[in-house]
Amino acid sequence: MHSTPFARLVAYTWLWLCTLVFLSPIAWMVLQSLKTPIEAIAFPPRFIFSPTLANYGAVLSSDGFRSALLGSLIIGMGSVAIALATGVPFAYALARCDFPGRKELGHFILSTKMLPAVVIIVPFIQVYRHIGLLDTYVGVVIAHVLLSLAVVVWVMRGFFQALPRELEEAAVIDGASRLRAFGVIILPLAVPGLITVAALGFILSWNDLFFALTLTSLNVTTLPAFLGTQYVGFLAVDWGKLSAAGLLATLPIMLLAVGLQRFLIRGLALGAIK
Amino acid sequence: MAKDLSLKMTTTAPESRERGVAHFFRPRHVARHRSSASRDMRRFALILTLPLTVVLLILLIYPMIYTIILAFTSDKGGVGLGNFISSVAASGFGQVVTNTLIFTCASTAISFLFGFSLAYAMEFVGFGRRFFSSILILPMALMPVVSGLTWSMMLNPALGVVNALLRVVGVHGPGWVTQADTALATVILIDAWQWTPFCFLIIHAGFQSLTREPLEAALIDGATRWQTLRMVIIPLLRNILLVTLLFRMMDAFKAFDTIFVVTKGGPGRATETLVIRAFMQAFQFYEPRTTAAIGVLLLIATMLATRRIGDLIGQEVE
Amino acid sequence: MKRREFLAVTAAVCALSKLSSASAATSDFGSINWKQQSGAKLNVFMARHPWQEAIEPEIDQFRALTGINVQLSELPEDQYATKVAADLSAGVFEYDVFMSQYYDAPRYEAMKWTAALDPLIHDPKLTDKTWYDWQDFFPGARQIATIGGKYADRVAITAEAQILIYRKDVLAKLAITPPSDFDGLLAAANKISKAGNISGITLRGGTYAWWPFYGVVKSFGGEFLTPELKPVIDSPQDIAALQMYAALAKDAPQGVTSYDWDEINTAMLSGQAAMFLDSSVIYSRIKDPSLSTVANDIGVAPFPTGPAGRHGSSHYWSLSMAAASKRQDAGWLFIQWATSKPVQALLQSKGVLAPRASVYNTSGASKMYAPDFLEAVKTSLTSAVILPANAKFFELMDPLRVAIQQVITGDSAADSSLKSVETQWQKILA
Repeated sequence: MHSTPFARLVAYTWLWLCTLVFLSPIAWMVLQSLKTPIEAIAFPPRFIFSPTLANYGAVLSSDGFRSALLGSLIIGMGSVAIALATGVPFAYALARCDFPGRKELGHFILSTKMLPAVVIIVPFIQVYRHIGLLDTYVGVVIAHVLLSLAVVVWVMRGFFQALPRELEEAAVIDGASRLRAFGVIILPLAVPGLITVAALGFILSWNDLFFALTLTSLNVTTLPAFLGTQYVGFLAVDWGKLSAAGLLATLPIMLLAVGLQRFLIRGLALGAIK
Repeated sequence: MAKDLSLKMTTTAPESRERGVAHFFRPRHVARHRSSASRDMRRFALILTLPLTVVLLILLIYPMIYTIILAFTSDKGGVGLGNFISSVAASGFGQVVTNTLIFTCASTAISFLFGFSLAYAMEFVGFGRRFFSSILILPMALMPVVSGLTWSMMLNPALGVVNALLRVVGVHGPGWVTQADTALATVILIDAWQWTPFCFLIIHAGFQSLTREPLEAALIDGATRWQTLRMVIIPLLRNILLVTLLFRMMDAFKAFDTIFVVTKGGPGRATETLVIRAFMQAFQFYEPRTTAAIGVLLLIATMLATRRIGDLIGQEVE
Repeated sequence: MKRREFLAVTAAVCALSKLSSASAATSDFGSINWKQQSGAKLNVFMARHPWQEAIEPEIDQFRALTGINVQLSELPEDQYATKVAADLSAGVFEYDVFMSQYYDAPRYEAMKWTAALDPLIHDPKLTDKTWYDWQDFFPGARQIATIGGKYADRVAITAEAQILIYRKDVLAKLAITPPSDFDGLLAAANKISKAGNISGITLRGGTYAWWPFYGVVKSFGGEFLTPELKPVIDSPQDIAALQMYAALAKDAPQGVTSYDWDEINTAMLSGQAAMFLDSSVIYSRIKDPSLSTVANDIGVAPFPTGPAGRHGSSHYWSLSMAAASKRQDAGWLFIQWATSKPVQALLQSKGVLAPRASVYNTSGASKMYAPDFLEAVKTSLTSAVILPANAKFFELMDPLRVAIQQVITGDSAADSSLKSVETQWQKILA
């Protein structure tokens, strides 16, 4: 983007301003996570206090946290993998092929996101019980795939639509099968989109509380359910540990985000090959 | 071959699409290699879409039918609109609908505008890009339970840090979520805060996939930045923007976790939306039929609201 | 999770205690054969609660006593309620024994979701009736457990009384005597708030405000519903009660309409408010110096008297058994054990009030409480009231909550809002 120093200044200012606003609750959580229970509820709220790492120690050493973390990781990666594997080809078909029912299929996928889980959960649980998916990792993975599928399909469809048809047509004329054209030519160009929907899908799965709560009982624990269980007790929220655990829970996502940035930039470079 | 491809890539998208369309979708009565080409296409498409569709149907058909039946039947066995009528006639329904509409529109608009402006600003930034795009994801990376609780603690009028800081500056902070007239606005801001990263991520990816040529062409033609934005960037990103808007709106319609953790729909009914009401009907009052009726209402409303946008997006390939 | 931790830690302890108290255990626990279900697996589901925290370490005693393999799950109250509701509605409830709230009793019974405990209690193989001593439970506790005079589907596990907790130092500084009636309470709250540093009182204004409000209503001579389920919420006494409640709320910290259990606790523990008119469950926390800044300045008084006497609200959590459970005998053994005299005395000594009268006389059990607390609880519990359950309980409480909140924020007057609640209740109960 052509940028004058002035434009850059405005952009940086805006970005920093928003960063500050976005980060303020996180900053507060960091403070809270370093406080003892009494200091966490001190009135008026304290910014100066003697910090302690006890909360982090308690959270990291608790068995439940580790298994919940593992559970969420497995489910997150599983659901993203499946959502991408099924949703991306689906999006490609919607974007490129004209076949009867195309529009309806697109709307059908969209409608999976329209009914709130709250409303359909009871019969949904019954379906799961019938298929034997209740209280299993696979069951939660599938439910999470449902959460992100519509996003995957429609966003990738948008990305595919933005790519000129000539690319595949040229390949097909040269003898490649449609599938090869898709895999070798189109997919690499759509990498920014893929990265984004993968990240979104993972975050949606990572943060889901409702399905994790209602579809599991004894065998599966995910982080949101665990965080609620351990540190939101009957008599009070244990702010110190809740903040510590909440911050720790964002680490995998942050690592993911930082790691994926590389691919985003590379995608851009690919798109501008001369 | 690589060189040929790249030449083609420098043309602007709509132009080439037009050519592509003309090239492959001849009118039906002009039969050339039409039958085998389009049959191939269809088969290809079916392979890609059928398995997923079947699985989805298996999983969702029973809950959908179950919900619809529940919504349209009564305890005594009759069929009709009784559940809908009693839902609409229930106290506060008007306010609940208004809350839902205000919440949806406001949260969507705010998070979309912020997300877009941040993605656009990122384009001007070279150094620190990775830093910003990682940081700006944080609100969405936090679990709704945790961020909801943290916000409500921060916004506690007497105990919270926000009002404490305001007091330092001499301003008497409002009641935030505890005051009936500021509660909805506060909850909207929290939700928008949480979902701006969603819009930002998608639009940012969209920006990343733009090729340089159209932008540089516009620059050479002497367009101002504003003109470039309006007439080159936005049209090119049209689909991405529409999709973002679409999903934001659908999510805002059924936003639950945040509102529930922060206010549970109160004070009074100030922040009660249709989904909150459905939740209470289902899990506190044990009224599955009313729940189903509200669900159907929500579904219809969402479909109506998003139909136009969905069509706009699909239009490109039509 | 937690069970793995304490399983490992207490395994050795368990072995030791088994050796030393083997004979003592059997005589402590009546004459039935506790080992009759040995080897069975039992799923127990609890909401996070002081009772749950107190009894969890003791479950090993049950395991040793019966040989039953107990698997414990727990969730915080909100999510617990959602999960129980969702699973029961969908017919996939996996737990055998679970904590329940008596307001759900009519619905659970109507839908046959909980098992009838009556036949189990009368089965001499499973229950030693003299040892168990049903009459030992407080009248209120027995009331929530029985429907039609027979045991229904639950047994009370905790007792909570609505009492007045106050800051001795604050009241002393302003030369206020601990109030014994509502006018005195209001005057004290006013005086404290005017003095500036601290709010006079903290009250619930959130979703569950109906609980403390009911105590005020009954003490003013009002009522929510007649026994025939006719709404009478708009009577002059109810209106007066709401006016008093709203007046008190004016001396509460700003934002009172979002104050529920967690917030009013924090308000007292952090020294934000000087008085507290809610459940006795706060006591062990507020006296804990690692959690409370005011542990040494606490005074306790019984619920204040209103024009119609002293009728604070009371509450009892209970344990129920799922009707779908395939291990009802084992489940009943657990419930019986958990609600028995020795176990409840043990829990009382840990700070969780028991719903059994005899426990209060056991010296060891009541040692950890200051005399003014026990006095306040006993006084309040003798004339305490409990809001009767009915099939539309939460549906009725919702408009009431709205009304209370609107009157507190000043958005509407007590009489018109209660009249509106009356109309809505008539519609709901029609």
